[in-house]
Amino acid sequence: MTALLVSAALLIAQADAGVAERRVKITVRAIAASNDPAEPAGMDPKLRPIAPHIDAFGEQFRFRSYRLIDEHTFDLDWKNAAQVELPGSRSLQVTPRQLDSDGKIKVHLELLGEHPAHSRKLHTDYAIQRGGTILVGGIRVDPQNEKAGKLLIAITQEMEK
Amino acid sequence: MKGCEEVVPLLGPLADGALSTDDRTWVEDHVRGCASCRDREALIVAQGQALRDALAARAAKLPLDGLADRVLARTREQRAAPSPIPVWGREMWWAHRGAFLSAGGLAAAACMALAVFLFPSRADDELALLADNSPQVEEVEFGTHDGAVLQLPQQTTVIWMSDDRRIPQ
Repeated sequence: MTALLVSAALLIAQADAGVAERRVKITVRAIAASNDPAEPAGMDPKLRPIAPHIDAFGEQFRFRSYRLIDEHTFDLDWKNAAQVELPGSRSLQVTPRQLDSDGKIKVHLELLGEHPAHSRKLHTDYAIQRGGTILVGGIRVDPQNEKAGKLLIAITQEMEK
Repeated sequence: MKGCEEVVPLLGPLADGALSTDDRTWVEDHVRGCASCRDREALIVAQGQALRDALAARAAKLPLDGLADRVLARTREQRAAPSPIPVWGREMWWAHRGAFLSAGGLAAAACMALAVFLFPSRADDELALLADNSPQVEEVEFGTHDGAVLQLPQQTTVIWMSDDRRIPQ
């Protein structure tokens, strides 16, 4: 009887682990990278979790300021897309596709253009480790205003607790 | 004046100083008068610099001290003709091969343990070199825009495109 109970407990634990493996946590941060002297210089303190990546980016691109516009965290099933609205009626779709044997997660990402066409501006497939961040950017924060700076989107694969 | 679509493929060679004088003149003329191509040129230069920095950082971590001496020593070892085992040696080997194999195995294990104990930092460095956990971009499509994938320090990967860098169709 005891053996039966232990086996049942093990099976339930395995099922729980399976459920955890089926979900992926992703954080998307929309950032304004600007050279506008009116913006406070430096990095928004809210960007501290990805500061090393912003620093590495800043060494190459040398924008004056980095300000967090919006941040969303999603707990997703595999192959389910999350959609994030971006400034200028643009949007980003992120879809976790599969878990590789080396522990990396394959992600599909699409950047969609302005209303009403929402044409696809960029799409990519990449593999990322848990805790890793990829940066996508270059389009204007405000399509009508060049001085508003460039949009930088940081997509972070969160570590499961 | 030639258009951006003719200049874009020549910006890389321009940054590398690989254009002929004639081509360099008109490409530079175009770049001076075209903000989009100045952006593209800046992106290509930044990408080249990022690649050089990443390679230099990796090379700096490699244990190259005394590399030439180690290569020469290895060459001398291989050049020396193997000395024939004397009859006595062959008979001893065959008669006591079990004991020799055991002793050899123990000695090899002891040497490996000693190496791990004496040189742990070097092993860590090599592991660190192998453990590059940067995001890997497998495929990217920029559509009608210009763009690039940059690999920066701190395991930072950037996919960069611009509204300003649309290539005329």
